[in-house]
Amino acid sequence: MGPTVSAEGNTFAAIDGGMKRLEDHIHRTARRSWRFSILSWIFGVAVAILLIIPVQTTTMTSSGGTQSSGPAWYAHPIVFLGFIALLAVIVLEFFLARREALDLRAGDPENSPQPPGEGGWVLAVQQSQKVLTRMKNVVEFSLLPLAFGLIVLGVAGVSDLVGGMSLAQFWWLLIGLVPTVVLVPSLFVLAHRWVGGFQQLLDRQVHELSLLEAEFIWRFAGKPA
Amino acid sequence: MMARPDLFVIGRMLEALGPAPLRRTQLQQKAGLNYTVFQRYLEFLIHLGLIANSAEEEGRLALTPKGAEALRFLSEGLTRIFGTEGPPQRLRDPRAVDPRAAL
Repeated sequence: MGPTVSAEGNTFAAIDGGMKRLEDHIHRTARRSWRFSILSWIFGVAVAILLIIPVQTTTMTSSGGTQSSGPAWYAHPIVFLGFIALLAVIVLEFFLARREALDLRAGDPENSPQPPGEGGWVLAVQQSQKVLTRMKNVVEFSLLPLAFGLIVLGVAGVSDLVGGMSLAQFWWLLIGLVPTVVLVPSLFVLAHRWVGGFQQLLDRQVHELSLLEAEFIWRFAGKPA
Repeated sequence: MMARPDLFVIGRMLEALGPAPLRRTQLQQKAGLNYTVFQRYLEFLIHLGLIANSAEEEGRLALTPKGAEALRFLSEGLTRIFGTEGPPQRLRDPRAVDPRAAL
């Protein structure tokens, strides 16, 4: 039952390797999550800035003259497409972070881990748990600027539609907005689930290791558990 | 008596002695420990009867039968909890919590 110790005696080195790989995955996922966060904030701040700065355009009137007005900045296709492109990059970073978490073949095989000293695993778990908590907070907090930007785009789009947006502009807005409005709650749920998955895994390992310690002391040290 | 011995350290020391008796310095090197931690764990394991002076080779330490049993116990227990290949190993254990399953 269970693996036997190999003749080469590298069972514990293999366990150390597995734990190190898990730790590396958590840290790589955390770095991607930071990039996702930075981009989300850029998006939110950019929307906020453009809300303040009106865009002036000049249009021809029916009598042949010109009229300057300040249509909503989002109505400019270039600006709007720019925001869609930024959103696409944000979503890409998010799913790359998720892939890092799942990419179990990543890691440098030549970088064989040094066995930690006493208490090394406990320290590594504590460190990983801190990283996970920080990552969860960063991702959740970063959804705020994303949601802000999307709400602004949505409200501005609806108000301009009432004000006489062209059908083409409306469809542009709809195609851009609908997936992204669905996206923010989905990202929130996904981030929660994968971070929660890692946290559960670490918590379970900590618990089972405590039980194993107690049983070891009871069996081999002759002390009650 | 140690309150909470590090099972990984114990496992590495016992595993290092598995194939053949070793001198103290060799055991310390193989286990990858600094001198202070090594001395403390060595005294602990000798006190528990898991390690003893080798009867066949003078000046060397060897695993006792109780030590061999302890090594099997730790090897199976820690592999069950952590696996030997990271998350893919744990995926084969239905009791393991897999972060991928949450997705």
